[in-house]
Amino acid sequence: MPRVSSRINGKLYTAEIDPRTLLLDFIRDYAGLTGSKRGCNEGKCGACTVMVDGLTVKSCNLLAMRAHNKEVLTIEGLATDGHLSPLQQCFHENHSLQCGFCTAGFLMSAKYLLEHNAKPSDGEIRESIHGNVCRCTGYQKIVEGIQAAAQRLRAGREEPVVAKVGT
Amino acid sequence: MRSFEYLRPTSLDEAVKLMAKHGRKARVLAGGQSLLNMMKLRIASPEYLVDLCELDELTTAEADSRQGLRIGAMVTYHQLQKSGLLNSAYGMVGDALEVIADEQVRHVGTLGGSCCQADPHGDTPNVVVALEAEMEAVSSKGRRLIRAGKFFAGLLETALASDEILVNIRLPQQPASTGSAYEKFAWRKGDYAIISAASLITLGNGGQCARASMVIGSARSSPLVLGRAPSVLVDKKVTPEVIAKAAEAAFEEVEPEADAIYGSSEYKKELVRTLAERSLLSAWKRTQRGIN
Repeated sequence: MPRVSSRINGKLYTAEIDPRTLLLDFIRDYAGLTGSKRGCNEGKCGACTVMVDGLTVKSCNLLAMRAHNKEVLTIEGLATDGHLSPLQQCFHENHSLQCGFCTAGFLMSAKYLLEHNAKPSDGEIRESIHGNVCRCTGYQKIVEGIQAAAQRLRAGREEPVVAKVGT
Repeated sequence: MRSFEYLRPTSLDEAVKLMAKHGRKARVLAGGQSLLNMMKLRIASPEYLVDLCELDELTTAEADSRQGLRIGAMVTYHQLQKSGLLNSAYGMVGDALEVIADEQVRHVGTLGGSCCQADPHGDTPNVVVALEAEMEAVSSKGRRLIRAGKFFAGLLETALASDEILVNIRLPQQPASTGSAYEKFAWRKGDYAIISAASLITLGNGGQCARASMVIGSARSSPLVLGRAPSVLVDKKVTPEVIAKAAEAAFEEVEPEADAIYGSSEYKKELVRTLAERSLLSAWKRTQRGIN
């Protein structure tokens, strides 16, 4: 069996795996990190979105072998020392989640957006989460949460931001 | 997914040897955004999976003023979007990349992979055919160039032999004052096209059309190259009225196959007219502006 060695959230995981193992299964079953979710298992819904070497991917549609010698970031890597990241905090404050199943994926896509675009328009936010499905259809609040995070990250401040979509 | 042996060559030579050895029992893995789903559904069940991810020579793209644009088969949509290589003549490629799936898929999916998937509703086959690309394939017997128009051989079928690997897609250099555009209709952006149109216009002196081409996607099992519709434009001064006539000719020329999921032949035929017109207008604008 091939050997995969991958750094997930800064910690090295090495295992001999069946080559069929999807990155999502490696993350959930080998690394024990169950924040990334399996929705559709065919690369449509985005609930399994993680970053590999800084790019968002759907981990259900990538062989774990493709993460060999690469850096993986999952939802568990966002908080530091038990404190939510500003993006997570803004999702919390803006009610950007309902059942929560899609949330990890949305947060990873939003993180990628804000790393590359500090002042996204609402349209750019919607474009960036195009690959993520919220079955509760809570998109409006998700857009508000991301917009609030963008404002907070720009201001570098910690107090709550009430997002106004269209700003 | 059925089990397979995972092979990860570190050179093209090694990959070619593996394909020569395993042939029909092997599949090449590019970005995997189509193939892995095919394998989950057991539509594809290769015994050997030859992963090309370590072949750096397939991950580069370059423009040459005489040769045109060479795109390595493993270049991802995302890399191509960021490359700055897609000028107005190749505008249709940029249009297609924008409407393929979503960002996560574009980070991994490759132009070569989607061409080899040869999905009748895919976007990339239409633009490589419309730009008269040459598909460069390698096997233990050597290298050969396959015209894109001959590459797509039907539903999920290509002209590649079972031991051949697509290594480059070569888009020929286009004359000055060329613009191209791709338009598709899908219920949601990023879905497979219900109908799509790829159009190219080259203007001569005085603003008349020196050359035009049009490919309709999702109408048949392979990209459909139109004859009559572009000929409506050639040697005429391009105006919105002439473009409308060409779109009407496209409507008359194309008889789309009915589709159990996406709609009747008549519905798709109406879309041909609309998308033909939109793509021609956009291509024409790009000839004037000279920008993407």
